[in-house]
Amino acid sequence: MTISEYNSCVDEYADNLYRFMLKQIGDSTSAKDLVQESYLKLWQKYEDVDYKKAKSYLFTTGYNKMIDNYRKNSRQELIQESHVKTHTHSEQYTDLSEILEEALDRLPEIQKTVIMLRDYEGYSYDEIGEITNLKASQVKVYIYRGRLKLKEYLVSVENIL
Amino acid sequence: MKIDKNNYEAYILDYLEGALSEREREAVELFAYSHPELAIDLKEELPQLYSDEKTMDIDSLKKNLVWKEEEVSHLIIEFLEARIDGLELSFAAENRLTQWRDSFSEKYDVLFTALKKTYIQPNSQSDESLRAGLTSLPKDHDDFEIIAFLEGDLSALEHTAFKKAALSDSEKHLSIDNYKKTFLLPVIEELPSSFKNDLKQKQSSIIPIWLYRSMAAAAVVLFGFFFFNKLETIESNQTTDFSPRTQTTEEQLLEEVDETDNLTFRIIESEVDESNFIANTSIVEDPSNFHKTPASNPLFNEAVLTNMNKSYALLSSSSYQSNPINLAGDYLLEADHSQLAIHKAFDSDVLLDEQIAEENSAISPLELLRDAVLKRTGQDDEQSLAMSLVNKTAKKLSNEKEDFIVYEKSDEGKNGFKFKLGKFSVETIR
Repeated sequence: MTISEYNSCVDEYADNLYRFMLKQIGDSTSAKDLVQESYLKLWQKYEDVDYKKAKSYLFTTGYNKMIDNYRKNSRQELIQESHVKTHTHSEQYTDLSEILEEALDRLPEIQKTVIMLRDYEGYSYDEIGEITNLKASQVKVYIYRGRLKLKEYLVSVENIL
Repeated sequence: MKIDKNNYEAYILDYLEGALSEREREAVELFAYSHPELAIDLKEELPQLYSDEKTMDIDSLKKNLVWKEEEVSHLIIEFLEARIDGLELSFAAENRLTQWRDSFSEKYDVLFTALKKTYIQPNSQSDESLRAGLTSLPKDHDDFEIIAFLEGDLSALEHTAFKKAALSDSEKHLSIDNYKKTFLLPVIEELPSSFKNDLKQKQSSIIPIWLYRSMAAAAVVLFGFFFFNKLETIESNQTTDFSPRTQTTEEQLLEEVDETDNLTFRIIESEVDESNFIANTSIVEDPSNFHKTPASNPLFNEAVLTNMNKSYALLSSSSYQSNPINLAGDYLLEADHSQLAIHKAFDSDVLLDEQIAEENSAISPLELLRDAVLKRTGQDDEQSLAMSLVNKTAKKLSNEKEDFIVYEKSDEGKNGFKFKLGKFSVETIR
């Protein structure tokens, strides 16, 4: 990858990576730190990284760093309950979007991660597996289970409403 | 519990996560043992936050699934308890319970009804609610089929069959709609541009060797020019008034448009003389006529590009000394202005320094230089300023030329044009 391509990666993927991190940990400062660390690592290896693989490299790096932080700190320290509503905006129907956000937060971390990578970034099972260090078949199962739970939650909330 | 090649991955995950009962684990181990071709690794450590490490006990494997009332009872009670607590069964337990229900429906119903009666319901509404829950155990297969359909995981044949079935099944249709809602839509959240700029890395400036030579020569020439010019100026001031310099180089007309066609510009390339390191290209436009769009002429574009990219070369050459510059003010194209204005700056012994460039980075070169003329008149250290200008301009033009675009100024009709070079934005003036 050239310097110019590296800079293109900033333009093309920094926002995506930030959104992903923000959704995962809920704190914009920590999300920015993770984005910065991911790009720093990419910069250190930019000559060895293929431009076409750069996005996957960034997400893998960011994800692993997030897991490291996750292990170091307790989840309670990282997650701020109000983050989703405060920091994100979706074009989806507002009520449904909020319910979905809520449902997403109730999923096990791994299911949430793979669904976000699938929906927000459009990654294939293989690519998600590469990022999360899982097999594609495992990713698929997690996605299916996640969807099942999301649907159950949405239906139950809709019934209440 | 029926594990097959279509669903075993889910059980393996549960196994690895430690979410299975002992019997379920045995069934998984049996399946793994019976299907060596799948190369199932039950000792695999999941990479995430899960770290269950259980060993495989092949010796204790059971071979056949037969009705086991004790186990089914246990699962039903687990289900009922979970419902009361508002919880869900584990995927495996739920799946196993469904299997029991589907495989031994009669026995299952009897047992289920009996066990249900052991629960004291606080009111009828809860009882109905519970009943509804009990009779609608999720059928994972159907759900997973819908998800597979939406995820695009079905084969073409399966896809068609599914769509056909869904058309006649309103319940399935509703379920599909519900699952559609689980797909997240993109969120709009962007990092501040300053943050992204900080992430970017600056490219090291590659200045061609000829430019160094040009600059070195320019330094010598400029030194000579300023030195001798000062002397000449002192002498001439004592005797005569200032008069424009005369052109000593020959001009080659590259293009001349028939005046009847309302030609608006001409492109002239000067002969390279000893004092010119690089061909001097200039553009002069007839201010009275804008009927033709300059940008539509490829020669014009090329000339503008050449002009801008090489303007630093003009600075580093001494050609300006011998080229008479007829400053036509606003009548000339801005692109030309920038070059001419640079000459003007030299003529006036006024040069552009870094501070002025920074302050005026968003305005056109012409305005920039006009500012320079106003602000820097009377500077004594022309030489260092001249070199500073040469360096800065060369750097700007060589690094930012990829941003150079020429396009028609559509909001002002076909007469004007506009271009951008790095931070500079320049457009024609009427």
